[in-house]
Amino acid sequence: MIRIRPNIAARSLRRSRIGEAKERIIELLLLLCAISSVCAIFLIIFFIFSGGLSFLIQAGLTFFTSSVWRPTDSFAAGSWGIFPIIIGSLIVTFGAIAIGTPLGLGCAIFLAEVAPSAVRRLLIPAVNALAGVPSVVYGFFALLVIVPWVRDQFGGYGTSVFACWLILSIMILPTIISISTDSIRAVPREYKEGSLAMGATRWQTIRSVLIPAAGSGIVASVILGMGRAIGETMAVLMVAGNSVTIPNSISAPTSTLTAQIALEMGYATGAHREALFAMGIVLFVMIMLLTGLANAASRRRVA
Amino acid sequence: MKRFVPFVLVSLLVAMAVFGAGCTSSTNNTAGGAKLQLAGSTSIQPHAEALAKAFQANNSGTQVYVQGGGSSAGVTAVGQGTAAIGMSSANLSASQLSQFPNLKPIPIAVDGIGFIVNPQNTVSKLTLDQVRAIYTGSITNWNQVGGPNVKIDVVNREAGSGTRDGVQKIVLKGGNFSTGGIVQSSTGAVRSYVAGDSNAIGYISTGEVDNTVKAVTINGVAPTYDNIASGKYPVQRDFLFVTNGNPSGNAKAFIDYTLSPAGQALLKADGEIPITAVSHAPAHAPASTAAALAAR
Repeated sequence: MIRIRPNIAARSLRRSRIGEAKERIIELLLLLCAISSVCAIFLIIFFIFSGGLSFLIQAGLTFFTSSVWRPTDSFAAGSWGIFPIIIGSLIVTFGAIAIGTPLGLGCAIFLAEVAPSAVRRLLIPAVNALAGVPSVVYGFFALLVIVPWVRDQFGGYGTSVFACWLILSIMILPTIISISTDSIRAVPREYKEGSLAMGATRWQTIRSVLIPAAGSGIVASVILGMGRAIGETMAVLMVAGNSVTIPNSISAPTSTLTAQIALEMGYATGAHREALFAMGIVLFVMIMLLTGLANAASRRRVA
Repeated sequence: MKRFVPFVLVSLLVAMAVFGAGCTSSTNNTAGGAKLQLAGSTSIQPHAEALAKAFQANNSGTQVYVQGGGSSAGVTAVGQGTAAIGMSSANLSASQLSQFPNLKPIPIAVDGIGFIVNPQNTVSKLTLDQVRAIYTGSITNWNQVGGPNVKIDVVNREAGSGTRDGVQKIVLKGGNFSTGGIVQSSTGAVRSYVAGDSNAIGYISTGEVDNTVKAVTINGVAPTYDNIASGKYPVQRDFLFVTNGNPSGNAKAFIDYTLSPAGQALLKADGEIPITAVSHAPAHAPASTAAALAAR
């Protein structure tokens, strides 16, 4: 479990009893740390489900199929539907993935295989910095730059599906780039050397050997990026327009589960509050499924 | 390994301190206590903070904490006893009163809701019926109300907002908003959106209207101090302090200060219409306002 170097071992032999007690205390403390983090996730699960499960059971299937969201009305059949919000979440997420994946994968291939080390030394910190930017700053940037641009190009509100796609595709880049780069670099050197020795060009090697070999890692990176996109709240809240309708064009406003929860939680009471918790359950299940998929994908690589 | 031990100990201590603080932070709201907690509407919050500052200057023993969270959260907080005074920019709903039957609403000011457009917009007057048609979706183009031939970008507030509630009751007469249009999460967000989109219309507290946007007249009446105080301007609501049962102790002292000439002057200086300046019981105001006026 803990490897002890010989010189330390000799010393600790002299004070073995004190040392043992110390070891045990430290192990116990580490165990407490581990338990507290696991406790946190169970507490979160418990509170979300205790807040929303009874509503979910009571509202039943209409909660998912109805398109009318009027949570300040009294609880009447049909006026508590989140169908457009779920669709909005999915459209926003998959659009961001569709734009972000080729960009991120291209950048990862460049970083892993093509870039000279000087360029790599510049790009990797830049990508890491992208991951560290707070989402409200992304949202503010989008509000000042992307939204007016979309309004000029497409007309309408500017706060739209397309604005969400653009900002989210940038926000998921660090996830896709860093995991994809790692998995490409983890491909055994022999594969690449073998391919080049057979007379394949660099691009043929990348396309036919490296990407397939790193495939499961790349898939995992995209799924984790998807989790980031579907869970993103602040930036989406600022640029989506938060209109509970199924968007009929990319310049139309939309709403997502996260944004809707954040938007209304401050004011919600009674059944409205429970409905927001129920939306939290839906979101939680979606993200758990994605995380499970990502785990399955990366496990396939190990096996 | 040895170096690691202090880290673990410190992080554990910090964790305990945080959890401990979380458990004991429910404030002392009993009469005569040194702390007074206010919570609720973000429209009232800045005014309550100004009042709290002035109140503390005269009552050095009392610490007043003002927290946002929204009207509904404030009413819930006062009902559950985590705040002594709730701030609500919407009338108490039937469900709130059934949950907490002892709630007492005390109007402190009247606030107009202004309909704002971009300064470049040529439209500067609308009727109440036109505003209703815009927000229910039967008017969708500015040329239907005397403006250019462009689509109207309708900006709304989120469900549960006191301002949205006011518009729904007074302008829509309880009808439903059209689902077109976008939703912004605060007064400031609505104002900055309208300031940036020449085809937009939104609504905010008249005290928050500045020169980046233009407030239109409603039925020919501008949302000015005099017009709101006299009741000519039709879209207005009460700002309420809410207590659980009759106010007592330092909560009562704070409310008395708010309704005193000094407190009311402070609200006026802040751009609101103090309740004592209101020369009418607003047509759409709750019975509580009429009662407060009768009591004076």
